[in-house]
Amino acid sequence: MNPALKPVLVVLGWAAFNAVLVLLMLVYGENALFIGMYGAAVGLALLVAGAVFLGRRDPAGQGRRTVAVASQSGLLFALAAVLAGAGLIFGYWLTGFAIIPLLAALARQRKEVLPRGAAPAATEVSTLHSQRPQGGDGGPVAKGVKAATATVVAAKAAGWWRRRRRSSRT
Amino acid sequence: MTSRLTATEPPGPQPTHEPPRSWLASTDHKRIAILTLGTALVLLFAMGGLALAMRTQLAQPDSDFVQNDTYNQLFTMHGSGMIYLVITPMALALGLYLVPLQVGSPTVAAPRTTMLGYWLYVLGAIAVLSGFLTAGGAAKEGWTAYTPLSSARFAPNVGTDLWILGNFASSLGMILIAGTVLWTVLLKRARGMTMLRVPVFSWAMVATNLMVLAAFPSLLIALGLLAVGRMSPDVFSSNVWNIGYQHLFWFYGHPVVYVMFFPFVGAVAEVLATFARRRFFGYKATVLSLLAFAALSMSVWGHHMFTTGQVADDYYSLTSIALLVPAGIEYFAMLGTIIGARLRFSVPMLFALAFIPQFLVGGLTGIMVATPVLDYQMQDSYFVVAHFHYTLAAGSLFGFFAGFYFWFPKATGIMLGKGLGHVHFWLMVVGINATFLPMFWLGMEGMPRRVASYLPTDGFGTLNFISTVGSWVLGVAMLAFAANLVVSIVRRRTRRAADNPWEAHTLEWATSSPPPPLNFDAAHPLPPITSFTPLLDLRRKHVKDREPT
Amino acid sequence: MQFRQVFEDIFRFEILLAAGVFAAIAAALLLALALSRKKSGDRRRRDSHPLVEGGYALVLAAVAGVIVYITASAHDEVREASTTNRTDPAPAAEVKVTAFQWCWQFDYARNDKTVTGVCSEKDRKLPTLIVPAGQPVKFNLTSSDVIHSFWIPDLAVKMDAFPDHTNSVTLTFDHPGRWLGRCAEFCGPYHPSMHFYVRAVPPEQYEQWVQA
Ligand SMILES: [Cu+2]
Ligand SMILES: [Cu+2]
Repeated sequence: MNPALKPVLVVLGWAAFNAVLVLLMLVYGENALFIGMYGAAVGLALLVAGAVFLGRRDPAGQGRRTVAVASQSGLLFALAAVLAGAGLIFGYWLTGFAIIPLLAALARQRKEVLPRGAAPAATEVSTLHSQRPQGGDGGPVAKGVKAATATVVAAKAAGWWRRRRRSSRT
Repeated sequence: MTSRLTATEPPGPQPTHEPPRSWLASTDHKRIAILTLGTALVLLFAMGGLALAMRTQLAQPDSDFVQNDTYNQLFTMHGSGMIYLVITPMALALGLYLVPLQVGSPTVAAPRTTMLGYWLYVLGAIAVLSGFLTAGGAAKEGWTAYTPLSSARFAPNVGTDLWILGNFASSLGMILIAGTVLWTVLLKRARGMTMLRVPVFSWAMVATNLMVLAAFPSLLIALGLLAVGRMSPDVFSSNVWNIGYQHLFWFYGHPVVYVMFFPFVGAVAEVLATFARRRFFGYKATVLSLLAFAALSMSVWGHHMFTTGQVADDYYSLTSIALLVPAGIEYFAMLGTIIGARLRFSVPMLFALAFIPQFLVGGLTGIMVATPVLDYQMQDSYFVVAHFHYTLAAGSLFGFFAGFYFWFPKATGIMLGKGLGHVHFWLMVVGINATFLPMFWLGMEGMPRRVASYLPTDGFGTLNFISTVGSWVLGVAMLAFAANLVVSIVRRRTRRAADNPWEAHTLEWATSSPPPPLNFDAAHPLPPITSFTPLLDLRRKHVKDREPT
Repeated sequence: MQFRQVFEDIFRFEILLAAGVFAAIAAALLLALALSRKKSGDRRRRDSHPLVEGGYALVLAAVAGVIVYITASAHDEVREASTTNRTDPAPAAEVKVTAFQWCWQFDYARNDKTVTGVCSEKDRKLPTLIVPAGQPVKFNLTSSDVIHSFWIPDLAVKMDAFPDHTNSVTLTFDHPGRWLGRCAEFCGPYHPSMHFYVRAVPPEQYEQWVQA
C-alpha cells in the first residue's frame, strides 16, 4: 500500500525543509554570517543523510560488524577527554595525565569485542508472567530457534573464555 | 533490518554479570539508559532544591535568606543544570531505553560510543557542580552565559571555567547518544518494522535526534568561544563576537527546548493511546508534523534576540508563529485519540491528561513572546520565566512522569504504587500552577528575571509569596515521588509487574519485564509486526478469531 | 507611548485568541472525560482521517497567517514611530544612554549636559532621565562594559545596550510624568538595583533645564 519509506529520505527531506527555511531567510535580509550558520547545520544534516545512505548500502550488513560485550573504554576515553579539557583550566600538566586513561582505553578497546560472527550469551531474565505470544506464525518460532541456538553457542563460548582466563592466571 | 546474531566462530570475551562492572561497563542500551536516567533523576532533585532556595529568598521583598552572589549561582546552576544535565539527558535516555525495544533491535548501534556519551555526561556534570567547591563559587552568569559578562574580565572565577568544560563534555556526550539512537531506529529495525510501522515515540526520537545532531554542535562552538574569552577576554570588545555568541548559543538554545519536549510528547502519545485502548489517531499526520516541527524549530532562534536590535525580527516571528501548525496537528491527534474512547485513569494517564492543558498554556504564551511588539515588554521579565516553565515543568516534566510511571514496570519488573502516585500527581498539579501562573502577572507588572530581591515599593510581594508557597508544594510532591520509588522497590516482591501490565501496543511490551539483555529471546520472541501497534493488532485478531461468525 | 499602545492592542488580540483556543481544547478534553464513562464499548476503529487532518492543517496555516500579518503590521507601525531616520517631526532631543556596571549615564547632545546617579538600594539617588513631554526623543543606547538592557515597563519598551554597538530608539512621552526604568539583561552582582527614572516635563521646563 505504502511505498516503503527509506530512512535516508527521512533525513534528506528534513534537511530539504530546513534548506527552504534558509532560503526564506535571504528574503528577510538576515546577516549573511548567520544565514551561513544555519546553512552549515543543513550541511550537517546532509552529512547524516550521507552516512545513513552508506550505512544502508553496506553489503555485508550487520554480520560483518563485531559485537562489543564490555565498555570500560568508554569511561577511560571520557576521563581522558575531561582531563585534557581540565588541563586548559588548571595547567597543561593535567593534559599529560590524560595520556594514561587514553592509553588504557586503547588497550581495553580491543579486548571488549567478540570475534567476528560470535554472539554474546543471551541470558534470560526471570519474570512473573512469561506470556507466550498469541500469534502463531512461523516468524516467532523460527526466531526463537535461532535465539536458542545463539544461546547454546554463546554458553559454550562463555565456558571457553572462563577456562582461558583461568589458565592465563596460572 | 534485523541484526541476526549467528555464532559460527570461536568465542571471545563474554559480558560480566557481577555488579558494578555489569552496569558500569555494560553494552546493554537498557542499562546505559537506566544509568543516565538515574543520574538525571538525582540531579533533578538537586536542581529542584536550588530552585526552592531561590523561591524562598523571593517570598518577601528585601529578603536576605541568601546573598546576592549566592542567588546568582543558584539561578545559573538551576537553569543550566536542568537544561544541560537533567531534562536533555532524561529525554535522550528515554529514547535510548525504548527505541531499540520499540523497533525490535537486540542492541543499540555502537554501544560503547553510547557508554562514552554517558561518561562524558557524568564527568561533565561533576565538573559543573564542582564549581560550588571553588573559592569564587560556581558559575553565576545565567544559563545563557552571555559575553562579555562571562569572559575572564567580568567573571574571573574558576567555577565558570568548570561550567564551560562540564557543559561541553556533557553536551558532547548527548550528541553521541543521539547519534547511536538515530542510527538504531533508522538502520537496525527488525524485519517487518518498516519506517511507517515505527511507533510514535520512536518517531519523536527521530525528530529529536536530528535536532541534536544539527543544533548541538553549535553549542560546542559557542562554548569554545567562551573558552577563548576565558583566555583572552579582549575578543569581546568587538560587537560581532558578542552578537555572534548569541546566535551560536540560541541556534542550539531553541532546538534544545524541543529536544526536551518531543520525547515527552511521544511518551504522552503512547500513554494516551494505551489507556484509550485505541491506536494513536492520525499516525502519519503526527509523524509528518513532528518532522516539520523539528525543522521549523531550527529556524526560530532569533526570537530570543528581538531586543538586541540586531536581528531580522520578522523572519523569526514568522517561523515561530508557524510552529502552531504542527503543534495544532499534534493536539488534534491527542484529542482524537481520547474522545469517545473508554479511558482508564491510571497514574501515567493522569500525567498525560494534565500535560494537554498545561503545555497548552506554555504554547499559547509562546506565540506572545514570539511577537516582537509583545516581546519588547516580556523579554527578560517573569513572563518569559512563567512561559518556559509551563513548557518545561508543567509540560515536559509531566510528560516525563507519564512515561516514568508507564515504563517503570517494564524496566524494573516492579509496579509503582498507585496511592502515592495519586498524591504525587495532585500535589504536582497544584504546585506547578501555583508556582508558575502568578509569574505571568509579575512579568506584566515589570519584574525582571534574575533578580535576587525586589523592593517593598515594587508591589511584587503577594504574587511572589503565592509562587513560593506553590514551590514548596512542588517540593512535597517530589518527596511523595521519592517515597513512591523507595516503597515500591522495597516491596518489590508484592509489586511484580507483568510483561504487559497496561495492555499496551508496542514491541517493548512483548518481551519480559525487565527485558533480557538482547531484548527478545526464545521465551519472548518478536511478534509479527503488522503496524505501529503490533500487540493491539494481535489482541484484536485474537478477539475476532474467538467471535462466533 | 507608541510601544504601550501597540502592546495593549496586540496583547488583547492574542490573549483573546489564546483564551478561545484554551477553552476549545479544555472543552474537548472534558468531553473525552465525560464520554469515557459511557457503558457501551468503544466501536471506533478508524484511526486517521486524512481529509479532515489536511483541512485542519490548512485552517491552522490560515490562522498562523492572520496572526503573522496582524503582528507584523503592528511591528511596522512601532518601527515607523521609533525608527532613527525619521524627519517628521525631527527628534526634539537626542540622548546618549550609556549603561555600565552598575548604573546609567545620560549625555544630552545639547550643551554637553550629563546626568548620572547612584543605583543602590532603595532607589534613593537614582539617575533621572529628563525628557520633553509630547516631543520625540531619540535615545542612542550603548554600554561601556557588558550587555545591559534599557527597559521602561510602564511604557512596554525594551532595548539592549551593547558594548561596541549603538541601538537607537525614538520615543515620544505623551504627557508629563515619572516612570521607573530597569536594567533587564542580567549584568552581574548589582543588576537587581540597576534602576533609573524617566521624567517627562513640559517642553518649556525641559528647555530651561537643559540651558541651566
Ligand atoms: Cu525559542
Ligand atoms: Cu545592567
